[in-house]
Amino acid sequence: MVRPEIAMIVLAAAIGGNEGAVRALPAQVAPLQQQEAPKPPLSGSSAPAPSQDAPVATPPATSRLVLKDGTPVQLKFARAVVSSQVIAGEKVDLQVATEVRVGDRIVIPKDSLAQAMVTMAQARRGMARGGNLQMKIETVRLATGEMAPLRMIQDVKGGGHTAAMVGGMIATGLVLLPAAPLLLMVPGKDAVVPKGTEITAYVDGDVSLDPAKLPSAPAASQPAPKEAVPQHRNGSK
Amino acid sequence: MYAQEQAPTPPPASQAPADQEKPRATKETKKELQDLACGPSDVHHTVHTVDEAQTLPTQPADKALIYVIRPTHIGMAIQTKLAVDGKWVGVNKANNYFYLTLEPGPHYFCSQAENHSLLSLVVEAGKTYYLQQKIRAGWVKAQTDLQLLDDEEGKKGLAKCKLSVFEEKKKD
Repeated sequence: MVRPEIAMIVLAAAIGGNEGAVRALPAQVAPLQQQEAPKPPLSGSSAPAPSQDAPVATPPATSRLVLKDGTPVQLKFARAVVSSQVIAGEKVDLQVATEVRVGDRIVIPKDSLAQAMVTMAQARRGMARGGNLQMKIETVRLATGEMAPLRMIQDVKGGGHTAAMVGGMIATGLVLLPAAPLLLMVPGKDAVVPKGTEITAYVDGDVSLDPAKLPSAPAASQPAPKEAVPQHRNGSK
Repeated sequence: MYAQEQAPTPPPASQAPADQEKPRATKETKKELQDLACGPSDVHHTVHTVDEAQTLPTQPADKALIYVIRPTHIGMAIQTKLAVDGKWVGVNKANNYFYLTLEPGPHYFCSQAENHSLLSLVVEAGKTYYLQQKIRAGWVKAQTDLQLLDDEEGKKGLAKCKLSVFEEKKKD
């Protein structure tokens, strides 16, 4: 079992101006599985009977789909997040950028809601020091309406220009001494994640889904999109 | 394990506002954070350094341990106060530290000298955090800049510091 803090995938985004660049750590790929779950009891009305005319691709209602631990989920920020405009503990909305499938079933639809929590926020400061922003991606809404946990921490630092400020102070001091302290007011840059920035989070732990709660399988004529495969960092699972 | 069972419990409720649709303006956020974090402005403190070496506290499993350090000689006589969630919890001078424990969840920090330096942070139980009160030249006296350090930097800084003890000055 991987300890949660070790399992967190840490991405660093280098901010240049308002641009956020995200890089992911290399991942090891493991096969996706469709897992047979124990059959429900025969009595009772809650278990739906398999339909006679259901498409062949539809798994029987008694089997459960498993969204494997480590499955990547492409997300994009629904709004810009600025270190000077958020406070730790606040929730930030994201949207699923690319649907996730298990077999031919969509288990996480495109545009589904995901949530992150701001875990550290600090506005840009005087004396040319940049802001700081850390977020933890927490959950995503599945096609069944349930929430699945995600893992990832995003750490964004705003640009500072302390060296330029100090250089400026020295240069200004040589020419006009009283003006040098004014450069203390030079602000750094806020840490910013622009709206629409895409990131990859990972499903945290195997998630079992009831196929009966999922939208129906796509028509056979539609091209099958690339199937999601779970990824684990450094083979730690 | 089913998805619903797997979903993590929500974090402790933030005192931050619930309206997430419209991001606040920078000024508004700063004012709000300052109100949440800083202690009353009419309270003054005395501080002294404990010269004897102190045993560091044991990390509690159910709380976060926070060290607040100031490992430099700069601005020796200038007090840098720290408030958490609206209450003053410690004061440092040069080469001082103090510590406190916090419940897991979001907390709001305010370091004060000539200015206020603000930081909001979600802390986790069983973890140690190191905050440095950096000192820089200000307009009239020194300014402070609160910075979250990594473990290595934090331990290095802590090793240079002696424990500070503060007391609230009585009003006449």
